Amino acid sequence: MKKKIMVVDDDLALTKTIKFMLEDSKDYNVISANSGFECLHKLRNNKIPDLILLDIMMPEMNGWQVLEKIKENNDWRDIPIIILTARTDNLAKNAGKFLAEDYIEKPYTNKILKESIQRILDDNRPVE
Amino acid sequence: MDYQQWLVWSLPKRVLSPSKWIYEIMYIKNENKKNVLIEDGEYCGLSQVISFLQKIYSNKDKTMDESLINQIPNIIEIIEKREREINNITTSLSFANAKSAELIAEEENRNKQLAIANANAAELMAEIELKNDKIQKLNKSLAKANAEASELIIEIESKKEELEKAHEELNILNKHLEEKVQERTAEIQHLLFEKDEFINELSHDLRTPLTPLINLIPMLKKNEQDPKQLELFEIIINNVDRIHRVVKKTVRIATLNAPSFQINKERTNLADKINNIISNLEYDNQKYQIINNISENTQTLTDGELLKDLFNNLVDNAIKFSPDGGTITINAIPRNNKIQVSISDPGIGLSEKELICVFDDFYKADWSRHDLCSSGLGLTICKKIIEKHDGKIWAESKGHGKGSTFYFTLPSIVSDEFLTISEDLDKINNNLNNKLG
Repeated sequence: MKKKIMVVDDDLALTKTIKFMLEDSKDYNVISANSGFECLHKLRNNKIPDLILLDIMMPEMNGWQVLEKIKENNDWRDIPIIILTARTDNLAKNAGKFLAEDYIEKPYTNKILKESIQRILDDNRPVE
Repeated sequence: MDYQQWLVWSLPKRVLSPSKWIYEIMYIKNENKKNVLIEDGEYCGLSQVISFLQKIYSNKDKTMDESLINQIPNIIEIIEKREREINNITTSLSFANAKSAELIAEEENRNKQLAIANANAAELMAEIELKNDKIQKLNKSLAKANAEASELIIEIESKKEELEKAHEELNILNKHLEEKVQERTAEIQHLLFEKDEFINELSHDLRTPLTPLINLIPMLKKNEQDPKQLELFEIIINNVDRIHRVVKKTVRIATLNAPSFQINKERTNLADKINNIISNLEYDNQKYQIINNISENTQTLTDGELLKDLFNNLVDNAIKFSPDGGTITINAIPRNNKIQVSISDPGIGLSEKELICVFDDFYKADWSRHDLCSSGLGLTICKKIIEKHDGKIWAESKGHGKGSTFYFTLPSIVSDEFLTISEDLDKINNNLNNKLG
């Protein structure tokens, strides 16, 4: 069964790229959200993914605020999150690694992204 | 009146002047040879005159006037009186003379002494004059010297004033200069900050659009069969990779330069850490060999992330510039309380000029390296990382084609342990000495 990955980024080219990259391998279905509000809206509409790829630097509602809302909600708080950002400062990196499952700096390669997703999904796999 | 009569008659008048009287008697004697009163050459004293008169009186000379003869005792008395007076006078006179002679002698003596004293005084005067001359000459010289000294003092004072004025002006200039330098420094710091901010912003803005490029182009290439199209894809991919590298390294430099950047140093086993970095390096281990000779006990205080970045850059360079089959050797030795690490390669080497500039921003050693996909920032990053560790980095090479060795120093923990052990040993030695001594 294909895993559902939600990608949240205000850059349309990027959400489309990730969609291409991940759906190309036939292992994933990608839900795109072009803002924090859209992400929360889709979650509320029961579009619960297996993993969220979250950008930080977004207008109106930034990634940290989205992260906070997700972690506050009992139904969403267990969704693993990978932060994808162009921020390279230590503060963002440390906060990202602490609050989310992984922190990947832009520009990332297909390989790095897929490896990270696979590792996290494997770790979160329910015990059979 | 004959002579005798005259004599008796004149006697009382003459006794006052006996010498004259004696001469007169003598004269009479010479004129009247017949009546000799006093023998020739005989001193005719008053006693002789008296005895002569007494003779006349006792004889009662008939030729003489009786009244005159009667006067003879009175005359004798007068003469005797006169004689006594004369004697007294003579005695006084001789005494006076003797005194006078004594006084004269004394005077002469005094005069002699005075003359000697005068002579001495004259000599002294001459000497004093000589000395005075000398003193005057000296005074003149002194006056001249004083005048010259005064002139010099005036000149010095004037120079001093000039100097003080110049000093004040210099101080003012220095103050202005300091203010200008501070202003400029602040401006430069602000500009540097703005530059770093700009680079950071620009890099961030480039990082997002780079993501589709580096991922989608290979996907397109994968589905392409036409060799010409594939060649074009290859060119595009290489250039996107190049932009990717430059952006990544530029962001790294901007991050290292940021005032907010904090180094996170921790105790690191250097040999293990480097083995780990090498195992994660993407290189063709069939073509190149990397030998890590670092001793197992080498402990350093380093930021793991930065150390990884440093080795990635240096080993990447060593591989990039080495011929196939080349061996890259990593060594570490303790030196001056630091760990000195070296990475040697058998590669294209560096000239003396290149050794100096190789750590500058965007420096590429020569044209031959331009097609080797270098950003020219790798060694700048290495330099900054080592500076963050309070160390030094430098390169050595015997010239082109003779390989290069890159050296850097890292903080040592071993040395601290040695220090502690050495201090403990000193304490033990002191205790032993105290007990023995």
